[in-house]
This record gives sequence, structure tokens and C-alpha cells, in this order.
Amino acid sequence: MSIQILEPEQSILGYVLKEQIGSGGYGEVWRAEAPGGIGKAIKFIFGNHSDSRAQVELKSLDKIKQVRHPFLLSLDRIEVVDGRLVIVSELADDSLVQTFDRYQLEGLAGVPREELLTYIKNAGDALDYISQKYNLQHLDIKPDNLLMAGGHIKIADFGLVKNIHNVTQSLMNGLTPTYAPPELFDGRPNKNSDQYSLAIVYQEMLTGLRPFNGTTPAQLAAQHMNAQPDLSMLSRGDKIVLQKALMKDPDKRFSSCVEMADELINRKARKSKGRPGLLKAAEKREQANTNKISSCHMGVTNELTSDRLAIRNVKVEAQPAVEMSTPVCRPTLVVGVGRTGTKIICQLRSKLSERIGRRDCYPAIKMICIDSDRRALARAAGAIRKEEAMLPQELLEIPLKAPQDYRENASRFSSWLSRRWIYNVPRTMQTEGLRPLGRLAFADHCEEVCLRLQQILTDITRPEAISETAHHLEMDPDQAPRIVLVGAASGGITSGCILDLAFVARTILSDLGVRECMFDGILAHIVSRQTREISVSNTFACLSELGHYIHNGYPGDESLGIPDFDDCLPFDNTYLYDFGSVVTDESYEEHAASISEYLFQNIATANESFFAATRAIETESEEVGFKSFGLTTIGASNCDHLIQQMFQALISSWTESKADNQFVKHQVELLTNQLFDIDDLSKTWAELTMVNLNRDGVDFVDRCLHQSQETGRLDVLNAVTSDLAEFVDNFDIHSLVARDVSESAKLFEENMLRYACLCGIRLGGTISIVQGIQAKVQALFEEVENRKQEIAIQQAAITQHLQALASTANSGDVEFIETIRRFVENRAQKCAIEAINTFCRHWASQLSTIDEKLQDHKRSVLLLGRVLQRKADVQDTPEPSNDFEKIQLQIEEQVQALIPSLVEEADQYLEETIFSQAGGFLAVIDPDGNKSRDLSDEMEDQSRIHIVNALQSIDFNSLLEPLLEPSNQLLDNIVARSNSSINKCGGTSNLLISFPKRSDQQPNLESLKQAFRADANVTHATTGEFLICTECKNIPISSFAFQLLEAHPDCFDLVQRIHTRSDIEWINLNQILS
Amino acid sequence: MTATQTGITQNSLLATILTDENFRPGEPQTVADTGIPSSLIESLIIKRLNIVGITSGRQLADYICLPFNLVEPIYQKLRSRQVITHRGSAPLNDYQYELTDAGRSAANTAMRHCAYVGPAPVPLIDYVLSAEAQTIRYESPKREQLSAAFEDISVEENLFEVLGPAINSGAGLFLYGEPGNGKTTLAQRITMCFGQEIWVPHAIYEDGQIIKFYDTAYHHVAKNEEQTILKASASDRRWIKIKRPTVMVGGELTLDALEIRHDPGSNVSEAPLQMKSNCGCLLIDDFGRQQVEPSALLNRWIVPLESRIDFLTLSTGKKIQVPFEQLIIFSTNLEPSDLVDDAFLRRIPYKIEIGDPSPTEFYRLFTAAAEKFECECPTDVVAYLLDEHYRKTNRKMRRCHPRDLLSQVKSYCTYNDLKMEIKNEYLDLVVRSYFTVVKGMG
Repeated sequence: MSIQILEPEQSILGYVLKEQIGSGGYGEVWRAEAPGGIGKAIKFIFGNHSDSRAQVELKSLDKIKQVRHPFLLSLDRIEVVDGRLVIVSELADDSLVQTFDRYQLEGLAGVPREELLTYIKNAGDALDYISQKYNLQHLDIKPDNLLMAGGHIKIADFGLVKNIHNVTQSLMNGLTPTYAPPELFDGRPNKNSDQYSLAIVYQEMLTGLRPFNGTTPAQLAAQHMNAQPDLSMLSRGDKIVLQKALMKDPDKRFSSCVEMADELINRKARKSKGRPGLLKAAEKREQANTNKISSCHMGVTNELTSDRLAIRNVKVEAQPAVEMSTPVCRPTLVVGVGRTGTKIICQLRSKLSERIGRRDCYPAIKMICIDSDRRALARAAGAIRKEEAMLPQELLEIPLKAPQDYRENASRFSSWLSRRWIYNVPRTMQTEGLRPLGRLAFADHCEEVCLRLQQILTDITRPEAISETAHHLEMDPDQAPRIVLVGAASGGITSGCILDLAFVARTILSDLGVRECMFDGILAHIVSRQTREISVSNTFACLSELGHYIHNGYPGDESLGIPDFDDCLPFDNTYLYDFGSVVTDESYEEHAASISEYLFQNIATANESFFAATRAIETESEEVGFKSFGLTTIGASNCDHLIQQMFQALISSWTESKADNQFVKHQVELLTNQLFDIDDLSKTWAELTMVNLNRDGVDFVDRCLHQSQETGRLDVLNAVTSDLAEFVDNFDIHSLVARDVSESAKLFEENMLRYACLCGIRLGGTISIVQGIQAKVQALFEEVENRKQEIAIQQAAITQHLQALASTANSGDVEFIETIRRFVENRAQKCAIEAINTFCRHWASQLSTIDEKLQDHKRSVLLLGRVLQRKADVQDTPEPSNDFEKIQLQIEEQVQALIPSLVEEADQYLEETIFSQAGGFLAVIDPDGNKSRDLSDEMEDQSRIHIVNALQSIDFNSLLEPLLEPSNQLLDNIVARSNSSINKCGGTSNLLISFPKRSDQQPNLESLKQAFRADANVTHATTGEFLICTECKNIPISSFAFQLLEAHPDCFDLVQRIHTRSDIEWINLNQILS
Repeated sequence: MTATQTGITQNSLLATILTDENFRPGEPQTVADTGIPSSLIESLIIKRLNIVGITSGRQLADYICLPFNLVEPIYQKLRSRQVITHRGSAPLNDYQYELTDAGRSAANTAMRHCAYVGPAPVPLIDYVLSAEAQTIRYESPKREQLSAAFEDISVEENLFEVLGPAINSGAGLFLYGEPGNGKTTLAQRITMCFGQEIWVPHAIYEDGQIIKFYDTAYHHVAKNEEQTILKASASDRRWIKIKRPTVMVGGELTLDALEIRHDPGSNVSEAPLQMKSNCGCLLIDDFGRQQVEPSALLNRWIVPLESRIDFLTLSTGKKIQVPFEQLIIFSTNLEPSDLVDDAFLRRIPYKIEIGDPSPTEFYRLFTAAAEKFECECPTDVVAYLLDEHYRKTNRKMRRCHPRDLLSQVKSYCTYNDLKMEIKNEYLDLVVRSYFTVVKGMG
């Protein structure tokens, strides 16, 4: 007879075979469909029906076919088809083995005891029935033969069913010795034989280990016959029961299987010694473990594998460029919650003041920091520049109180806050990362928060405020307000209250009658080594609560006065920003700067249109997706550094010596020629002396001669000499000189001061002039010395001559008189030279006085320069460590080259605005006056403005050209940095590249596109940097949450316990993950 | 500004969250955190040094249960005041300390002022908060907790129905019935319904007075089963974790045990019984047999039972408020109406009779006891016992009998080198010695 191969869709006996569900040494079992579609199981026994196996089966079936019991698999048909024995029976759902395997995969030891006991009792029931009523023993009880349907056991496979009273045949065929009782090896089945097998099944299914663990039939037989069972992994009660059930002597066992099952069941109620509380804890832990492991293993469990793996490492889809409309300027409120939020707000404030201007330029943009930590808020309030400091109305403190203060009004919080949190407020009065405490702090001060928010929102939605801001930012105004909430979801206070805060804001806006508004939430995820578990759990819990609100709506909170919102999410756009797995202080600052930059671009630049356009794209998926972003700016890394440099350059332009300056040289020349020519001077003074000497118009020499007519020459000489000496004594030329010098010096000083106020000359030039003149005076001194010497020599010569002449009596009188005259002249010149000497001395002292004054002024100017230096440390720029920084350095250098011309411009500007109005440069720099402070601020502002302008005119194109080579690593670097941090969770992304506003360069779009491998929107909107930003959306919550959990599975426990509200049935985390 | 938090509080917070405790005292970081004045800590230090002579800084800190880095500056202060001095070095950057002469006299003065030397006390307000946080009133034990708590004793089914609500109410409870039927056992198990352990302080400080609280007679330390992560976490060692207390007093109860007892010689006070049993149960056994009149006792508790606050007087005369958060159980063999009149009975809303066991229950008890002694319990022997020694002699069955009888059998078998078995003969022997054979007794 041919053996037919069985295949699906075959029809046998009117049943259509569907699929094979088992096979073994005996044959095969198929699932089939009976007429009408009812499921049945069909067992095909191998071999010819006349073979011994089939005969044995038939004989057993003979006995059992009359038996009906709910826990026995009922037989429908027994037939011989094509020479083969075919048995049709009802279809079971499952088998005990499969159930056991499932539990094992989940990480449990086996089937849970309660469940298993019901099965054992079922089986026992059936076995007792066939034993008592029909004297039959199944003799092949094993887990594979215990099928399940509807949660109850169905015993199957009656191939070895025996009547114990009529044992005719060897029992060893097809016997599975694992579960066989000893009497079977003797060939003497007993009414308690099945009980034995059932007991072994119980242990195996409960613990996974059998009492007899032999591997070969011989071993097992020996063990069953002789060895004691290994019951060590059972509890004491179970042990006692099984010991009895596994007695070698069947009469010593229980009187029925049901009795054994009952014993097992009752043991549980009595025997366990643990305390209920502990039991609960142990159960809870086990439960939690189950959850934890099952969720961890979700990636491994057969049914869910493919889905889970698909969620991991999903690439982000790049989208084409979006159509941007005109940018609008909205009334904006940015709320920073917690430490991170406050930091971001402060940075945003400084960016706004740096790039836009003072606060009152944009009254429709306001910020507020909310934190429970007083000290952090105080730090924010005292920033370095007063422009950047936060005003008191921008800071809101919501501190925690001591437990004593809460317990009196505990009823306020008891509806939603579990009591233990009130009693566990840390001594430091900080939330210390505990979310429920964050919500407690918020709830405690809810009224204050509402009031403040209301004030600000009323303020920013005034039409005048909006129009003024729009005007200043050069964008179109729009009435719909935007609210942005920023904070670290891994921190205590943000995680605890940000969702409720969003709804509070919504309530307030609707009270104010504002219909349309945009809500954005930026949730940062920061994990540092010390706070890992709590941070991750906080973020996860926050996300799960967000998920709950998305699925089930927000139930409101009566105690806080927040109404419910059924179809409204807390945020229209929720952004997730991951700070990365390793957070150091610098990376923290960097990321915070990125976020604040993102906010700035969104609020105050024309790039707003890009973001609005990306948000407006309709999404196809029904699931609410998260968004994320990544941002890089390439600009001068240290703008402050450049500003410092410019400031210093301005100062030095005022004070450095300008000896080479044309004007200076000219002046020195002029003055030298005017005042310090030695020939001029000596002529002048000599003439003066002569004039004075020749009193009354009478020539001195004539007079002398006249006087001493009769006397000899010698006498004449003596007379002349003495008269001259008398004259010189009385002639006070020096005071004349002094007076003259002081007058000139005064004039000179005035001139100098005037020059000092001149643009381009200033103090430096003036001091140079003075120094030049001083040099000239010094030169004059030397010349005077020389002349003196000359004159002395002359005098000596003439005197000698005169004496010679005087002693000889008979040389001509004319010669004598000539010589006398010459003598007198010489004397006059000597006087003149001395006068010049005095002249020089006086001038020198006057000049040094003037110089002193000027130096004083210079010092005050330098003092001014130090003011800025005090405010910020000038560090040496370190060597560029990567290409990225090299670019930054290049940009800096470019700007530095422009500084001198910028300085000139700034100087001009200052001259026009400040100096001319305040009475001149010197008046302003006077340290006693209070104008110097204003001056330094103004100088700083001007430096800033000029540098920023210069930055805008940088030629980015030329800088970027080498960058955009496809092989350039730096590009990948940049792209990586500007990518969203959550870039493994899928979603779609849009790319924005923005050039500075003033630059009129047209970028090379093609190369850009190639470089970034995406279509980018290009704008000219920034205030001096080159910006690359990736905005991603449609990231499913489950991906991010799953990633989080995968990386930190031990936080699962924690998450359940730190939900903020105990009055809400939070959705199971597994639901989020699915 | 860094992105990180202090790691010190981190672990203890994690511990608090993970263990589902309602209250967990965190380690104090500064003297201000401890809530007690620095002078008190100093006096504890010098008194201890006076007793022990030389000790290392860490050991001293361990003894007074404060963290070492909190106490170290105090050591330095005392050193600079020349009260203590170094005597050598100890491991881990520590020193051995010793008192100077001035220190010794200061210690003696301190001892005369107050002789308490032990763990540093906690301020009263902290204790009050802890009692409120750990109160039993918010734990409502349901059927499962009760059955779990009573699983190893034998309780009639209908008793659950009465006991459950009584326990839930947190009000007073009368248990009455014949002696030997398990009233005390039951009362002890009641505390187990509430589960969990609680934290109590070693001593309390208020207004200059130190009140000793932790009492090893009633407070049993909870076994430390938690993982190492929690061991590493720092909790305040001035608090000790105990199982919920069941304070039992019998005939020796006097009224002043219910007030703060002050020893004028040593100037140390002891907390009253009801304070020690806060967050647990107070069992007054043999109610009616005390020296004090029952009505006087009940009078004492009328106000606290209603308002849940007890007023106690310190030795300085100051009145303090402490919470009164426990279940009071009065257990008596006498009839309640014999003891107190209706007005008082009204205040104790639950009066539960514990009756004699039924034969079935008796049998079960026997079987359970037999199991404990690891021997078989044949039904016929028990039937014989019931028949012979109870029915015939009209003796009443009590729940304690099975265990007591069997233990006598066990001793008998051990003495006679017999295998432990329950036989009629043995029982006969034992019964004779156990029950007084006086006519009319039963």
C-alpha cells in the first residue's frame, strides 16, 4: 500500500487539512477544517493499520472511546484511510508544554503555582474519573499530552491506556520512562500510577526541573525504582506532598489525584511563613521584574521582534525645501523652568540685547524664569552687563517648604499627591530631581504663577507693543501670541510641572479672549553620571504622562483651578533635545547655547518664516509626533574677544604717540621756526640789550669815551668795563625772558589743548608735539652752550687785544674805539646768550608742566580702557584644535584686519555725538566728571556694533568653498553637529542654511545641496553668523522612549513610582511602547 | 553652573522611592540639619569620652550616630578650646581623642546635668512628622492582609468579618474570652496586618530635655533584607528601623507608665508606653487585673482616642503634643460590662469575643501542631482524646491545648528515647500532668 504524503488543502474524510501541528515517532497531527469550518485535529498513525503500533493504539482507543469527560480530549472519528489509522479529535488551543515554554521565555522559572495547580486539579479530576469509573490508567501522562483549551486541561493521547486489571501486553513500547512509575517497570500498573506521573509533571512545570534527571531509559528506570526524588527546589509544603505522591509503593500514595491536588492547594494557604507585607513586596518585586524583563525582552520575544527592530535606527527622511512666506513677528513669551531653562533664558536675553538692542525696543517679547531654587535665580539676576541682567519681574521663585508647613494644609494636595512625598521633602528644600515635589512646588504657588503670567500676557498682546516690536525687527506684525516653555525634562521641577504649566497658560489666554495661539515646548534630556537613574526616569515619566494626555485628554485639576482639555495637547509642537550621553560642563554650555540660538532665530529673525513653514506641513500619520532640532553657527567664536580688541584699539588710537603724523611734524616745524631759532633769538636779545645799553639814544661807547677824554686808554677800558658790569648787574633781562616765555607758553598750552580735542590727533598727537618741542629745546640748549663757548673765546681775544692796545699809547684811537665797540657788542651777545639760556630753561619747565597735564589726561583715558578689561577676562585663544575652529580663527583674523578703519569710524561717531556736545574730548574723559562712565558704555556699544557689522560683511562663500569639497571631514563634522540629537528615531527633516543679513553674497546652491545631501532653504537673515539648522518632525514617542529604556532598563522600577499625580490612572508604559 | 546634582542625597532619595516607604530620614549634612543645638552634640561627645577614655573620631561619630564629616569640625572646635586633645592617629585621616583635665571636669559637669550618653536625639517635631507619615490609619488592611497575617494561627471564619472592620477603624478594641484561646496571639498578629517597618528615633529632644524612646523590649529591629544599593545610601542613623511595635503590658501596668517618666537624678526622661507603641498596637493584657482601676485607665485615654493627640508634660513643666496613632486592644478574661460602665464601653466601639474552638478546629490545631513536631497525627487518636479527656470530663477545649499537650508528649518521648508519635497512651499520661485533676475545674 502506498504511503501518502500529506499536504495542506488535502481533503481526507471530508476534512480539509490546514497545517501540521505536531509529529513524532507515532505519526503526525494536523489541524483540519471540518465541513462548516469547524476546527478539528487529525492524527495519522504511521505504518499500516495492521502493524503493531496501530493495533496497540486501536486497542487503547477501544477502551477509552466510551469515556466522556470535560477534561479528556474528545474523539470524533476513528477510521482507517488508505491503510492508515486516522483519528479525528477536537482541536485544542495549546499544550502545557507550550505554556511552560512561554513562561520560561519571559524569564520565569515555570508556570505560576496557582495556575499550574488548576491544571493539575483538572487533570487529576479526569484521571480519577477514568480510574474510578472505568479502572483505566492513562499511563502516559506527560506535559506534551496535557493539552489546553479554554484555560482548562484536555488530556490527550490515549495510546497507552490500560485497564489495570487486564494486563496482557508488554508496556515498554512507546513508553516515556521519564514520567513512569516504578510499578510500570514491573509490569504492574496500579490505580495510583497516573498520580505519580502527574506529580512529576507538577514539579517540572513549576520549577523546570524534574525529580529524576536521568538521561537514558535505563538510568531513568533505575532512578524511578530505587532513587529518592530530588525535591529540593520545592517549598516545604510541596515537598511533603510530592514525597507522598512519589512513593515507590503505590499504596502509600494519595488515594486519588484530586486529593493530591487539594493537598497542594491547601498547603499554600497554611505553610508560607512570610509576613504579608513582605509577601506583597516580594510579589510586587516579582511583578516589577516581570514587567522589566518583559519590556526589555520585548526586543527578543517572537511576536514583537520585527516591530521593535524596525523602530531602532530608523533613518531620518530629508524633505525638500519648503516655501517660505513673509516672516512675521508675534508677541512672544518664553518661559524657562528650572536651572536649565533659566540658563537658556539668560543666554537668550544676552543675545537679544547684543544683536537687537535694549529691552524697550521689543516690548512684545518677554521672558520669565520659574524655579524653586533661589540661588540659581539670584545668579541669573546678576549678570555681568547690566543690559543682560534679568529684571525682578522676569524671575519667579516657587520654593518648597518644610513638611511642617505642608501638613496643615495637606488637604489641598492630598487629592493628587501621595502622602509620602509631603513627609519626604529634602532638608535642602530643593526638588532634588523628584518630580512629584516639582509639581508640589508649582501647585503651592499656582496663584502667583497665574497672576504673573496674566500680567505678562496682557502686556505683550497690546497692539502698540506688537507694532513697535515689528517695526524694530523689520518684520510684519501678527497678533497671535506664541508661548514657548523650555526646561529639562530630566530635572525635577520641569518634569513635574511643565505640562500643567502649559495648560495654565492656555487657560489664561482663553480668559483673555485670545483665540489663536501657538504653544511650543522644548524638553531637554540631560543625563550626567551621578544622576543617571533619576534623570532617565524623569524624562521617561514625563513622556509617559504626555502620552497619557495625548491619548486620554487632560483631566484638569480642581484644586488648582485648571479646567479639563479634552482634545487639546499641552503643546502644539513638542521638541525633544538630547544633550547626549556624556554631559560635561562645556557640552552643557554648548547645548544650552544651541537652544537659545534656536529660540532667537525663531523669535527675532526672518528665519521665522522657515520654521513656520515646516510646522505647517500636514503630517500623514495619525500618531502625534515629536520634533527635534540641531543647530550650528559658524561665526567668530569669541565675539567678545573682538570687541575687546576694538575697544582697546580705540583707546590706543587716542593715546599712542603719533610722531609720524604729518600734522604733528608740521606743527613742530612751525613752532620751532617761530620760537626756537637761535639766530633769531640771539639777534633779538642782543638788540634789546644794546637798546637798553644805549640809554637816551646816546651811544654807550661814545658816552664812555666822552667821559674819560683825558684819561688814558687803560682808564677808558676800565671805565667801560665797570660801566658794563654795572649795567649788566642792573639789567634784569631774565625776568623779561620769563615773562615772555610764560606768555608764549600759555598760548602754546591753549593750542595744545585745542589740538587734543581734534579728531585724529587727540592726546597722542598732542603729546607728540610737546615732546617734539621739548626735543628742540634740548637741542637749543646745546647750541647755546656752543655759542657761549664761542663768545667766551671771542671775548678773551678781544680783551687781550684791548689790553694790548691800552698799554701801547700810540696806536690809533680809531682802532681802540673799534675794539671797545666790539668788546661791548660781545658783551651784549653774552648777555643775549645767557638770556637764551634762561629762555630755554623756562621753556623746558613750562613744557614739562604741559606734558604732565597731558599725561594725566592720558592716564584717565587708559583707566577708561581698563574698565572693559575688568568686565571680561581676555584669554589667549588656544590653538585651533580642529578644522572647525580654524575657520573661526580665520573669520576672527579677517575682522581683526578691519579694526583700524572701524576705529576711525567709531571715533568720528563719538566725536559727533558725545564730545562735541559735552564740551570737548577732555571734558568728557575727566574722571571726576560723571560723563566718563557713559563714555565707556558708549564706546563698548559702538565697538560691538561695528564688529557685528564687520562680521556681517565676511565673505562666507570664500571661506566655505574649501569646506564644501565632498571629501572634507569638517563638513561631516558640521553636518553631524547640526543634526538633531534624536536622529535615530525616524521622522522627517528640513534643512535651513542662513547667511548674514547684510551680506549680499549668493551662495553656491548646487555645492551646498551636494554637501548637505539635502535640499536646503537658504535665507539671509542672521546677524553675523552662518547658520545651519535641521528641524525634524514626526518622531514617534515610542521610539525615543524605547531607546531610553533600552539603554537604562533598571530605571523601569523607578518610573512607576514617580508619577506626579496619584489621582490619575496613568496608562501602562507598555502601551506607550507599543 | 553645572548640570550635575549632589550625589549624596541621590542615593538616599532613590532608596526612598524604591522602597515605597512613607518616611525615610535622610542623613543630616550640617548641624542645622540635625535640629539639635551644637552644644548638645558637644556634651554627648565629652560625656562619651569621659566614659570610654580614648576613642577614634569615627568610632565616636558612630556611637552618637552622626556622620563623621558633620562631627569633625566640632572636634576641632573642642580641641581649640582645649577640652579634648589628640592622642594618636587613627586610620582614614582620623585621630584618637582624649579628654584634657579641663575636659574631664566639663564632662563631669555635663554628666551631673544630664546623664544621657548615647545616640544623638532628634527634635520632637521630626518625631511628630514621622509618626504622622507612618501612621496606621492610612493603611486599610483588607481581607488578604488579615488572612495573611493570621495564617499560622487558627481563626474562625466569622471572626474575620468582625475583626477586619475593627482593625480598619483604628479605634479601640476589646478582646474578651476564656484564657488560653489565643487572644494575645491574635493581638500580636494584628500588627502584622499593617505590614511594613517603621523608623523610630533612639531619643527625642525637646526644650532641653532628652527623652529616651527606643526600647529593645518592644522595638524589634527589622532584618536588613535590602540590596547593597540601599546600604550604601545614607540614612540618618539616629533613627532605627523596626518592625511595627506591639507593646504588651499586663497586670504590671501603672498610670505613670503612661506619662513621661523623669529620673531627677540623671535628668533623663523615658517615653511613655503609648508613645513607644505609636504606629503599631498597644495591647493591654489582663485588663481588669491591674492595680489601677480600669476606669482610671480608660479615663486617661478618652481624649487621645478622640483627637488622636496626647498631651504629655515634660519635667520642666512644658506640655508637649505627641500623636496618638495606634490601635489599642484591651484583652480580658472578664466580661467587659463587669469592668467598666456603659459610658466607657461606648468609647471602645469594638468588643469581640474569642470563644472556644470547635472540635474541627481543635483537630486542625492538633494536626498543625503535629506537623510542627514532625510527626503523624492520626485522626483516631485525636478523637480518642476528645472523647476521653474532654467530653467525658466536661473539660472545655482551648486553643492552646494541642500545642501544649504535644510538647509534653515530645518531652516524654525524648526522655524515654521513643520515636515521637501520638499515641493514646502518651496522651493519657500527659493529660494527667497537664490538667489539674481537681473536681469541678475545666
